[in-house]
Amino acid sequence: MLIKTTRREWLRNAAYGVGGFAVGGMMPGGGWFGAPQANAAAFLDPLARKEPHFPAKVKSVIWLHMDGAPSTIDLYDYKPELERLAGQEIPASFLEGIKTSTQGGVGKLFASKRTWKQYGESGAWFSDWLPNLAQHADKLTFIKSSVTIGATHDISILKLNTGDVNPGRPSLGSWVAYALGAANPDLPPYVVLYGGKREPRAGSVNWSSGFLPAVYQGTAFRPGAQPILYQAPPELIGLQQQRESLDLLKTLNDLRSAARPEDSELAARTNSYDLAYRMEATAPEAVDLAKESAATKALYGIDQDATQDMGTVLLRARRLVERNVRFVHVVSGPVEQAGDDDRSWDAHRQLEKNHSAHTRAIDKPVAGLLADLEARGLLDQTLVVWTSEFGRTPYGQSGDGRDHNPWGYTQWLAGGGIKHGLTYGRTDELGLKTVENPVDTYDLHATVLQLLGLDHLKTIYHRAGRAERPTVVYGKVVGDILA
Amino acid sequence: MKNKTSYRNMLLRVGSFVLVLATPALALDLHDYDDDLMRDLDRTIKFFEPDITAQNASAAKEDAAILLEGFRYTEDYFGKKGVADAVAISRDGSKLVDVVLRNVEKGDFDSAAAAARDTTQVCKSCHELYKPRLAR
Repeated sequence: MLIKTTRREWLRNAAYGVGGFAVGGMMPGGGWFGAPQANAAAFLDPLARKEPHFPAKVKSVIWLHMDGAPSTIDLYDYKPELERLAGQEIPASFLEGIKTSTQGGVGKLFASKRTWKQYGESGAWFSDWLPNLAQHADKLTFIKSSVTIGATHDISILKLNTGDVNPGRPSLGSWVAYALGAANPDLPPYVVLYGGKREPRAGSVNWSSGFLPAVYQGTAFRPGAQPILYQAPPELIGLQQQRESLDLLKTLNDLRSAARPEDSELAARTNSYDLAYRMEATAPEAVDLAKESAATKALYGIDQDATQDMGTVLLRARRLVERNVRFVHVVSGPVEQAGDDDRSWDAHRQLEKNHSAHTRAIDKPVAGLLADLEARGLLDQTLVVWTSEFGRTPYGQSGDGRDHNPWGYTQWLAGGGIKHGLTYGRTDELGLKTVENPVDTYDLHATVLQLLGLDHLKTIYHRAGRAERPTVVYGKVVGDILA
Repeated sequence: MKNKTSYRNMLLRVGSFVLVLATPALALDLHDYDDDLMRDLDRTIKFFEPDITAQNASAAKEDAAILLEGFRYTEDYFGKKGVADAVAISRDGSKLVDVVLRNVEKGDFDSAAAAARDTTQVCKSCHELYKPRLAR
């Protein structure tokens, strides 16, 4: 049965759409087609700083998306039973209640060549692939019961970032920018950094503002000295000349505005020109590592080939949160040595080769990030989240790889407002399914927002007669991990 | 308060069904379930709470009508197959939608939204049984 739409209903729904835009126009940044509206009554800067619902535990978030989905049973979720049963068929009881892949099939249980050790007072398990991160065991809060929908990478990545499997909803960072505005008026509140030379394959839909005004979308900072496309002034125009042009423009606009005080369009336009002008200086400076000490660069592994790329990305991330950027969305880059098929973490085969290369690329930089944030007194006011679109199965694929696992995998958080050294939730004895305290992407989003001082149920944007929220119609704060 | 306790009990009961009955449920042949209806329900449940929170009473009532029809169809469908847990879940869903409607009528949109969220959980619980999460 389909929903039948009469002409009257269609007209009414269309009216909701018009009404929604009208309502949007009254809200910060709302308006037609998501353009920041300078409404006649009073101009509201859509990026003006806004108060949270309650005191925030952290000021910024560094969202680390491990693109391609690492096998967390080879990194954090130690399963001796998997080693014992390796080479055998997975017992049928473990497959109950799930629908496994139809393409890759269910191979025999596969154990990688890991050695495992417990670290810190918490006794958290780490494999030998993460020796540097393991030194920070007591800073981490593990969620070993992550669940999601594991159709394909692009769909699950979208869900990880926007809460829905279809494009069109705002990403988590966009909601943060919308709800809190910019803490630094000279930089975007939501910045995307990525490893490698090109934007991640899943694309900008993952940092889109969806139905929120476009001003809240993530700004992708490219590698290199000029992070924003077309931001640098043309070669033959000096900063002084540009400043003078803008000043002249402002003078003319002010004359016009004086005659029409009710029209704030010009003020909005002048503001945006000025922000772009300021960012010509502030954005390159924010990601310029020239003034970082050799010791700091070494901490992130920038002095080594294997870690230079992600080390640079994560040091830039630290510099951005230091400058009060609200949400830094990091996507891990491809690693040349990871394999011939796919250079992301997506190890359907040659897991050993793939994950050796990826862990070598990320282990030292992420450990360096935690150490650096702590040394600068920033860790308590920052939330670092290690995420992925799903995990990987304990049963093998292609002989030496693993398939996608949306039923149970590990993510972790570090930073302010959480119980450090805690492990929350659990998978079964083989690491296939969550058996305790499932945490879906919506729950993770609700928890991140909570730490930023935002109630996910009250973070509302009116659209087409509906009150939309970041967690769609789901989501529960994982209260047990909060300090 | 009493209402809140009864919702909690209802959800606990649904959760218990999921844990206890997941295995045999998967063996059921559900190919004749109305997929179009399910898609409508999946879509409508995502409108339900947002319409209520926006205090859009007429839209919320329309959503409720679609959901009630869906829950009744599902109750009937699983009733014919003799699947008691799914019948109970469907009835719980209908009861929650009724709670929503009563609260919308009273203008208590906060309580209505809370009941709508519980309705979402009922849907999810049934999906855990009958729409297992697919990898790939």
